[in-house]
Amino acid sequence: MVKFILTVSIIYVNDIARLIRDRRIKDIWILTLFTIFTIIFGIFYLSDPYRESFIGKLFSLIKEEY
Amino acid sequence: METRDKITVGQTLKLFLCLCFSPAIRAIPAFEAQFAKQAGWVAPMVAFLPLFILIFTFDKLFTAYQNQSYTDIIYDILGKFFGNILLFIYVVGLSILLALYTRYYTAKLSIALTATSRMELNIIVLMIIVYLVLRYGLVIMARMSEVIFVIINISFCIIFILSMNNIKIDNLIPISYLDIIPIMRASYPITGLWSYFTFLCFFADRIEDRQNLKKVGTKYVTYLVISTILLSIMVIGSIGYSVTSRSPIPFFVAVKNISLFGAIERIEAIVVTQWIATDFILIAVFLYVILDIIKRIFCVDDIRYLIKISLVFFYLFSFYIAYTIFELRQFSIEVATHLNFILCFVIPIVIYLVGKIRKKV
Repeated sequence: MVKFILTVSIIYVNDIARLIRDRRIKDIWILTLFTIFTIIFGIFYLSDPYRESFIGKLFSLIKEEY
Repeated sequence: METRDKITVGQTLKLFLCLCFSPAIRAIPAFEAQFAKQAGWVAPMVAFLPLFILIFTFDKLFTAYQNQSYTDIIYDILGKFFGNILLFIYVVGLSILLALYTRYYTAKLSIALTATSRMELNIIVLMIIVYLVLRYGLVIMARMSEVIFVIINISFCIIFILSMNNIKIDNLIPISYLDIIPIMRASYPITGLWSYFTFLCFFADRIEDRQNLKKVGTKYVTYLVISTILLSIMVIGSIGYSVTSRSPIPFFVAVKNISLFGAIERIEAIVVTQWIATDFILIAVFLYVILDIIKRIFCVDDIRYLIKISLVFFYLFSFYIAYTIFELRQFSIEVATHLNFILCFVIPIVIYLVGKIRKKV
């Protein structure tokens, strides 16, 4: 989890620095939005990596046995 | 991600053939054997027709919309609101497929090479290469696909020639009129896979000579059908339909059986090279298309800053999507086949028909 947040933070800082320098406000918002989404998903997955998989969840939703 | 980089129709179709190769060697013989048994190898001939319809549909759309991409066509025919909804559906569908193929990539490597290896490392290496290529855009990706196209075709020809000794005609016949319906069923997932051509049309505005799409497309599609029939004959003919339908990677099993006078054996390393190269093209193209669609949804000029963060997301999503190869296989049969067919075959034709009704095409 710590490694993940650190990696995402480094990537974010690296990318946003260039966007701030070029004053690309819309792009800054888009990058921030996608970074927040990735962090939320990462925390969700890494808090319990052995939770039911996406396909498992989908199949239980459509009542498909496998 | 820059708009000035342009490729030719030939390069686009080579990209298409490369990205078809990996799912083809993994799934097509298995689907054919499952639905049509010994007659499965005929199924690509049936799947030929829908792919032609798709290429002709895009040819008509591109004739009406000069120098515009599939995204522009969607916006013009459906309007901004419904266009954005449809493009969002494409992003979700493509994201699921990208995670699925990334997971397949590492699962195949675990089966073929080292069952105990850490799959994280395999994915990280792949993601780094995808990042390096995507940074430089479409032209570099297309040039790489030209090289990979030659390599995989030469190696496939060698493998096919070497496996000819193992092909038993009894495994491929009899075929009668009773096989028509099973062959049609077997051609359905093949149509879904071959319809990935639609994804390449998202960057059609960067294809230089697309007025030649019908002519060049026919040539490449004919080649695709012939090579898929040879692949099916090789796999079903070598190991029989029963083993083909049960094996997770039947092509790999067929290649493992190749032995020429005891001198040439264990050439499955060639197959692994083919997988890695074509999976890389597939994942790079899918990510490129996803980012291109996002760029259009948000109306921005350059979206390369999202490559790294999206690779981190897909790295995690590829782990979360499935834990076992059985889940992946079942998902491919029950969901991905229909997803491919609807996203890549049905929707473009519906868009063309709506355009026709609205007198835009």
